[in-house]
Amino acid sequence: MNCPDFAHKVEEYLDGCKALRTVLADHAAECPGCRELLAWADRIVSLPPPEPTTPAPEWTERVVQSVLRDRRMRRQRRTVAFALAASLVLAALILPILRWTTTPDANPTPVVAENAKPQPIPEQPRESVPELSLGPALRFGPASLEATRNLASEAARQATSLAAGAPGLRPKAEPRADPVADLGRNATGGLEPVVRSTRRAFDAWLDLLPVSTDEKPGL
Amino acid sequence: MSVDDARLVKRCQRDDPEAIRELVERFQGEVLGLCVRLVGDRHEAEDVAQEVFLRIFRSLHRWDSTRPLRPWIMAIAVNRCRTFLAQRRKRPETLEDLSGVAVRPSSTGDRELLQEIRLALEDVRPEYRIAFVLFHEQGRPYEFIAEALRRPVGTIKTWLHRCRQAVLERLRQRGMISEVGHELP
Repeated sequence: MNCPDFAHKVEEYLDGCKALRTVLADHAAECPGCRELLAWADRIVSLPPPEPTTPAPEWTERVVQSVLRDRRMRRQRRTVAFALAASLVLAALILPILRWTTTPDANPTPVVAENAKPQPIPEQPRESVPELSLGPALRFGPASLEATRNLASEAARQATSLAAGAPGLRPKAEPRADPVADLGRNATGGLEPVVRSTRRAFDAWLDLLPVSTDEKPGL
Repeated sequence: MSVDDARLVKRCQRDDPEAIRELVERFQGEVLGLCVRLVGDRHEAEDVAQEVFLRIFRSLHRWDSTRPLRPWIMAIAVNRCRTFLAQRRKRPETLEDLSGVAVRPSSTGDRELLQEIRLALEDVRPEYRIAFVLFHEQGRPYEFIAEALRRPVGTIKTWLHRCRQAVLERLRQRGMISEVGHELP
């Protein structure tokens, strides 16, 4: 074996081929330069494994806490991101539905023939008038009308019977009214018919009062 | 795949604090040991290892339960260390970093050779160092390193070869090996 071959064999020896050690040692015994190279290679091959490193308990605790904190933060971030994404998806789903339900005409563009004249756009009402619902009126109207009619009939019947049993309510013979030309003779002339009508009405009301004596107040 | 591992992972995914603590305690020695070896500084390694566990639990749902858990965790640790080392290379060295290197003694004994090899590893590219540590110190096969670093096996072999050359060159410069010694191919 010459020196260049020895160098190649040393490389293989360093790569893990321990069986070459004897052959290398034979050549190294004759060549001082190769002997030094083999000594160096022996030192590399027999490098001790790293000493077991025992960390301090505080370090272990620090690592565990940092891992737990990191996982907690990442979980929170994931939750927030999921909530945001869900909100966006919901908004993307709901907004078109809302827009569709509030738009009066979902397809406002009319189909126009190519040669048709453009028609003036009718003016749209500015405010939308809420539609009146006639349903309840149609349902309860006839019933309430019937009840009102019954009450009115009953009131008329009672009034008729009352008038029949009260002679004071009969109309009295009215004196002839003063001519209009005489109204200017005195200041009270124009009020006379009104006063008389009022007195008659009051008398009629007194007649309706249930009194047992013959004494009747009068004006 | 260990049934115990799969059960533990499922419990962790349900945010069971005891399961999380159990998983951390089961792998913390290996993860922190690898981080210390690759990063160098103990305090920085603890920060990196904490970050490793955060990433493990964040991507636990991506773990293929038909495969073993340990290599998957170690691959995450290796990748995190690699990122850290790449970031550290971009920032200027502090006085503490320089003094940490300067105070180490240099001698010719067996112990000192080991020390020099480890010092030499600090000057090589992070990818080379990771490949070297995983292969020579942790005894991982090429396939494991390739999967962890997401590179072909051939690339890992090349990195390892270049790393050995760099270490050898460094030892020559430091007088640990004579100048007449042979080169690696």
